[in-house]
Amino acid sequence: MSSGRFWDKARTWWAAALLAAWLLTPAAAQAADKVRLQLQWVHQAQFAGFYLAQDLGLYAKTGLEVQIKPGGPGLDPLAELAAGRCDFALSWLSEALQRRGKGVPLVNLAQLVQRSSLLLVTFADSGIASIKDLQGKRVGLWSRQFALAPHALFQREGVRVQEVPQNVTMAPFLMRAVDAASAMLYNEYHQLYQAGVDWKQIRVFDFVELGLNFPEDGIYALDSTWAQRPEVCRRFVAASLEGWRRAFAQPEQALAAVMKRVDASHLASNRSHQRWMLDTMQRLITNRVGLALMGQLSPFDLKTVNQVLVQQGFLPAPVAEKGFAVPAWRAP
Amino acid sequence: MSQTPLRPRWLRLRSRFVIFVLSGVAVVAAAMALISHQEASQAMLKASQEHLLSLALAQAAELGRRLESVSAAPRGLALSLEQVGVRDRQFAVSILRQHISGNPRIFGMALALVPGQGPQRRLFSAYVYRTPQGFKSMDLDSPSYDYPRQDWYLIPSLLGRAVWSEPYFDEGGGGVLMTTFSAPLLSQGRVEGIVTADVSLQELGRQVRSLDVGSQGYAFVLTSQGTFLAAPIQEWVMRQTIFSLAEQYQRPDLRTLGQNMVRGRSGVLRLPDPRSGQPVWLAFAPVKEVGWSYVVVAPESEVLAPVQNLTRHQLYFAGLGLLIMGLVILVMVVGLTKPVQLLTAGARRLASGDLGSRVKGIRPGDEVGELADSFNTMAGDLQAHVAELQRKRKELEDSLHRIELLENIQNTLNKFVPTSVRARIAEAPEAPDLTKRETDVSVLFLDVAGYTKMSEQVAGEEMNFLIERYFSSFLDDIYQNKGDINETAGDGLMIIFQDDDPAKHALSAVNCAVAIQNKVAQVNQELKGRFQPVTINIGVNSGTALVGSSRFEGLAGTRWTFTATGPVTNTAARLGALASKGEIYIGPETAQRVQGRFALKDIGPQQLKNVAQPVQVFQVLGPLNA
Repeated sequence: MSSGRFWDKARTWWAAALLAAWLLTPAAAQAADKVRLQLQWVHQAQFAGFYLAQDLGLYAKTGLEVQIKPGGPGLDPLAELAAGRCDFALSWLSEALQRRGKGVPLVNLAQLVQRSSLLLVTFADSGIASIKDLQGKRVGLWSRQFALAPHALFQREGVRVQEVPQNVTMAPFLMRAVDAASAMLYNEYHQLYQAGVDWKQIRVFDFVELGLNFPEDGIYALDSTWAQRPEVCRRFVAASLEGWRRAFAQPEQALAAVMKRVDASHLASNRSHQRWMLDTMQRLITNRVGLALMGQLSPFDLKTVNQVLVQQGFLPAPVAEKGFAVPAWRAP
Repeated sequence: MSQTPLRPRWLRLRSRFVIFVLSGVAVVAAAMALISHQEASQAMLKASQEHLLSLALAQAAELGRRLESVSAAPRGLALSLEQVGVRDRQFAVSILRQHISGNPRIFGMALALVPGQGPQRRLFSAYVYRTPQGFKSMDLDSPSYDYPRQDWYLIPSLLGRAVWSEPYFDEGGGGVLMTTFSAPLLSQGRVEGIVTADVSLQELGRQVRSLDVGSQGYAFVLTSQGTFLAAPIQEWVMRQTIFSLAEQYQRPDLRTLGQNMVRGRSGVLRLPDPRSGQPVWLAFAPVKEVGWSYVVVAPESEVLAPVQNLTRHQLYFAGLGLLIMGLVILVMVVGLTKPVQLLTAGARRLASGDLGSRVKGIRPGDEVGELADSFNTMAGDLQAHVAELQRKRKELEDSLHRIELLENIQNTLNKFVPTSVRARIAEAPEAPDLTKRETDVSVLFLDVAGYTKMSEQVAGEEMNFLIERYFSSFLDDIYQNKGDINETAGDGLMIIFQDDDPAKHALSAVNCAVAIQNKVAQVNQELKGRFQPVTINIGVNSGTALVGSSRFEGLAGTRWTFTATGPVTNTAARLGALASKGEIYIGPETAQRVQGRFALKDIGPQQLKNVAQPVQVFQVLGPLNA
């Protein structure tokens, strides 16, 4: 078949091109740089791009040997970073700013998630139609940075709620032990759906719509890493971003990479949930920046988060963009 | 009336009968089988569905009872602690241990107080659980665990009522699937603590998997969030919810079903299996104690198995019945058609000429017997008729033979029968008018001169030859002139000429005489040298004579002759005798009639024997060329 021969030829060319690229890559000549990435949470599609970068050999191609360390309840990635137990860590912008404010010398190499995915959810039949209706109600809130935007919101709206510590399950909400609960758009919101709650049964308060867009996942490193090994940082970020682009282009492959890790870790999740998460992550990551400017930190968002942190007393003064946001994401 | 030809049947009577009757029976049987199958399958399907549902209900109830028995301990403990209060940790541990040991289903029990309520004023908790080495106790209030945030504590605290937790994998208990019952410890309406009991769900998984739902059926249990707690596919357990399956397989019906399940409803319905797409029957019932749902699933093929068995049996018996029916019909049809075949064969034999053929072996007494009887009677009659016919034909043949003989005789006789007689006979063969009548005729007498002398000289054989030779040569002339040879007498002939026109027969007679004389001369010439020439003398006379048959009676029989009698004949004979040397003498009447046609010589009146008056005689010299 002629087409078959064409493809054989094309494959040969590709192989040659890849070989040339590999030989010309300076890093390839040296021994691979070993780096460790600390994730914020257990394996899930929130990190699909990193998995794919590893599985497709994008890290290896750029001379990196990356160890991906899953997180979990009680694990603080930035603490791991500060302690030197990893080279790169994923964290929310708000959390990172607070740490830097507290003197942890970390830099933002790339801002992945451009848009807040934090939601407050209530049942549509609960009679809570606005934030003001939350007055005196039991509201499930996660700790630390997850509570920042809600606190800012309640303060702004002058609402006093009965805060209830929220754990990893949505059971308190589902059993109506709380009137409202926190949910991530890519995770708990869909878990509710997978627990049989129809979309129309849930009322959603979206912090972006409420003017409190807190960019979430970003890649962080210590100042020293960025200063001493900027190329490693750049290569890591570039390969990671490429991994994400591949994940968006080949969602099935990305999903396979996710499920492989989910299964290996015996995590109680399923494929359709991870598919939802991957789809949502694409919207969150490419929001505003598209595929081309993935990784860019918006100065406006930085300002918003700084403001809220100062207002809430978590920061004595805003963290300056310079020195904090380093353009490791930008192609040299 | 035009009759279209009938299209021939393409099936024999036997096959036709069998096919018609059998198909009729088959239609009736099929209709009955269909109706009974419909009703039976409906009933069986209903029974199968009810069986499935009752299975689900029974299992759900059983599971509910087991869980309820577990919940009794923490409920009771919470109630009693509301009375006595929690003195210290040792007290808590001992009372927990006491309750666990009383209920083998309980894996572990905890007592956790609301911060600020217990003896330590901050966090207070005690947990006692089973190990292979015996009971162990521990505190749950570590900073990393932070029990007030845990669902088992938080939810009943907030709701102020006892709840069952969503099942979870207990990491402390070796990854065993557990669920926890939490009962609040209330004091004046305020929650002061939580008492829990953990139950391992490992046993439940085994029980659900081993539940007998037919060979291909299975059971599963869903939590109140729709999560698979026990499932045919281990991978689904705690990972998939019925809603995630609905999402994965794009099955909105599953989602609706799941919502009915988590709402504590029960039911039975048919749906395609999300994985195989094969139709299955699914029954679900709520485990009321915990808000779970117990589900049993059986493939439709299995649910319908009894129906299919019934159908198979019905088909088998219907087939068998039809077979027997067919045999019965066949026997009957053979009984009916066998005589027909015998009759047909008999008719064939009859048709081929075997008239003695009779149909045997058909029992009398019914219609076919009557038919056979009629056939045999008919064959007998036919045989008799044909025999009669044969006899008649024989007679006819004999008659024909006689006729043939007669015809031969006639042909021979014709030569001797005068033409005029033949004509008369032909006119009325039954009763020929042969009576004598007075008729105007011409009579010619011919006489061989010297016949007696010649007979002496010539041998008898040769004499006969000569006579025949000469006489034969005359015959044509005689017939041509319509003369009737009336009499032969060895050496002479008497010839009668008749015609309605008196002139005409006279002319014919004379013409004939002249022609005879010419022939004589001719034959004489031919036979010259072999025989002496023959001389023939001829006499002709015309007039009225009695013409008809004359009958001569004798001993040997009756002989008939046809002749003309009377003086005219006599005169003609005498004229012939008078003539000599080949002369032709004619009487006056003849002469008068042929005058002008022949050259005549008047010989004058002559005295003739037996004639009273002399007769004017004329000699014919020859025809006149007019």
